[in-house]
Amino acid sequence: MRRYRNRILFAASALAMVACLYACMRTGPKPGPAEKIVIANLVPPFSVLVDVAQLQGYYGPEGLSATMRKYQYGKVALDALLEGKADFAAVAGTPIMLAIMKGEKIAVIASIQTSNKNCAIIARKDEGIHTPQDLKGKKIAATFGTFSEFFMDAFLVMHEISQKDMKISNLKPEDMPAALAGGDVDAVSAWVPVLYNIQNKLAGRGITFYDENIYTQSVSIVARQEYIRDNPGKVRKLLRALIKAEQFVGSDPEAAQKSVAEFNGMDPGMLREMWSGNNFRVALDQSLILALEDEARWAIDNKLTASKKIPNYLDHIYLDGLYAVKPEAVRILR
Amino acid sequence: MQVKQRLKINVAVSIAATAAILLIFLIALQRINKANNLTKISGDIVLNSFERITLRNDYLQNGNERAKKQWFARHEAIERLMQAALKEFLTVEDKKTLEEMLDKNRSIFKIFSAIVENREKRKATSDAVVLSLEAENRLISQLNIKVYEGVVLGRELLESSGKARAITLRLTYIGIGCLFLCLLPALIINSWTTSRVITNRIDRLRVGVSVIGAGNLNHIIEVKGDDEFSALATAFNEMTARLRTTYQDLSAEIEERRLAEGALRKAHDELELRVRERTKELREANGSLELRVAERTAALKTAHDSLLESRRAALNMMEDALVAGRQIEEVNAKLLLEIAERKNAEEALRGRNEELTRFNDAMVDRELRMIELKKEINDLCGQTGKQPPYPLDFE
Repeated sequence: MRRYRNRILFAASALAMVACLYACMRTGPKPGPAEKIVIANLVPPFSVLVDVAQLQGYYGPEGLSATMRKYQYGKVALDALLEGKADFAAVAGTPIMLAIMKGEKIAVIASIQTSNKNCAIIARKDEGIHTPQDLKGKKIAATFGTFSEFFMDAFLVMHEISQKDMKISNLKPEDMPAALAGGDVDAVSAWVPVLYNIQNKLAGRGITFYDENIYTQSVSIVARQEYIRDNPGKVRKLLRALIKAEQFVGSDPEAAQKSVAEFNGMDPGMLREMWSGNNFRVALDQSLILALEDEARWAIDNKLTASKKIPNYLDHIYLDGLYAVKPEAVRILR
Repeated sequence: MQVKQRLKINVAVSIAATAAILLIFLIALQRINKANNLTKISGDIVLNSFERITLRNDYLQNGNERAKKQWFARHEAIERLMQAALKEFLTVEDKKTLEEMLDKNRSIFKIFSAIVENREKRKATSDAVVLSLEAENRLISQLNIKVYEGVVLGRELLESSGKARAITLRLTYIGIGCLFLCLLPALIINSWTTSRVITNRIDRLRVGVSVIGAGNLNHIIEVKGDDEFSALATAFNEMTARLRTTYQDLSAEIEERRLAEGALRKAHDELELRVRERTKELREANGSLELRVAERTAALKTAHDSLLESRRAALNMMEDALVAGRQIEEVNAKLLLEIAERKNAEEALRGRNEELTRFNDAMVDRELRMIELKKEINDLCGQTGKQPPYPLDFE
């Protein structure tokens, strides 16, 4: 009996040792000094995951020390990246497409959200605009080089209005409310939250035309290709932090909304309204390429770029980073 | 605790474990069936989506009315499948995915309807055609994106149903594993302690029985616990006590018998002495008796001889008497034979006589009748005046 007892004790000790060894092997890499990154970030709701990762402290455990630089829209954020003021930038599809067509050496590391409701045409009813067809012959403004311009064009085309019949002008988002209220333009193509500001400013005089089926806005994180090549570890760490933010937003959207609203000094009600039309997901799928190509075709047709050929956007998508972190989120074939 | 109870616990634990495993299997089976059903629905959605793409391409390339109708029919089928899936998929994530798919599906419907409408109302002017084609291109791009997103969501749904099946299997394994982890130690400990108890108690009993078997009836087996072995030990002790009493009684009886045997032997010796003395007396008495017997025997022999003589004479007389008797018997036999012959002759004579008597009686009756008839005839003749023919003289 004693002999068996000894054997049992020996087996139990061996098992405990194996378990300890396994537990030790499973522990992650030991944290070293935090690596610094600068992110050209956008106002909500366009880069919510970047904000949430910062607010929830997901960068630190990944070994990153992230500095946020806020920009009103993606084009300026991308400009900051290209000027070397940021390592990463949150940008919508149109500026990315145009930058690549200009030959900029940038790459998308992941798209972080998509939406069909972030952009709309808002017009003045007192100028006789009650239906989309009433826009014909009116003055309309958009922010050129952004998805505001693309949406406006798509909307006009869908309602059989030629650009020749319109007076189109370029306006920065922050100038739109005053221009529309002052009668400089009859309609603008604007995105949230500028859209809500204009609606508030016009009160009952404005009319908003949405169309969820003509444009899918995608916000992506981009970086210079050289930077990605030199810092693949940072890319993976950033993606891991963003994936954690995605999980948090999915599991507790109300807490995420509250913290993002507080962080950006926004009205929580307004943020909640904008939030509902967005799909927050860190991914790289074929629809990103389809959207970029669609916009590229539009840009070529409208002579917005010197290039006459749709580039191979696959060369501007960095798959390895996300594939290393979350392979199932990569749906693009190489 | 009694061994019987311990064994019952083992049986109960085994039955409970079996029942629990069966239950886990049944639940797992039900959940796997459900997951399979979800996989089928998701697969159907994806398949129908691909078929719809084919029909769309057919319509866009050929402007085929049939393809358009089929596209709308296929779209309705997908919508129905999604609505059915909404009832089947229960997790929040799946429902969210399905809601998203339904949104995409409705967008696809709107975009395709817009393409059809755009084509059908396309005007002949060149500017309008250009605008219409541009709109169609834009719509097709959006349609592609929506269809792609819809298919990706369908794949997520498929993965989710696969995950549900995997989770069910994992839960089943974990459930059975936990069950074993919980119940197996209980079974092992119970069996081990039962085995230890049985071995120890049997060993103690064996030693006790050996000591008692060696003759030490004063040995008492130690009684521990309240199980069957303690009852057996108690029974052993009681049996030993009874044996001890019996042994003591037997010893006393043997002693008594030994004493009685001594007394008996003494009496026997005394008797032997007396017998010897008596024998001597008898031998002496026998000597005088033999002498008297010899005398008497001689007298008897004399008497016997004379008796034999007289007997012999009597026998001779009896032989004579017997010869005379035999002669008489022969005479008697002859007489008896003669008497029998005479009796037979008398019998024959008597028979003949009786026969003659009967004949005589018949003849007399006939004669008397004849006489009466003759008398009647004579009377009749007399009445008629005739002479009676028959003389009746004897009257």
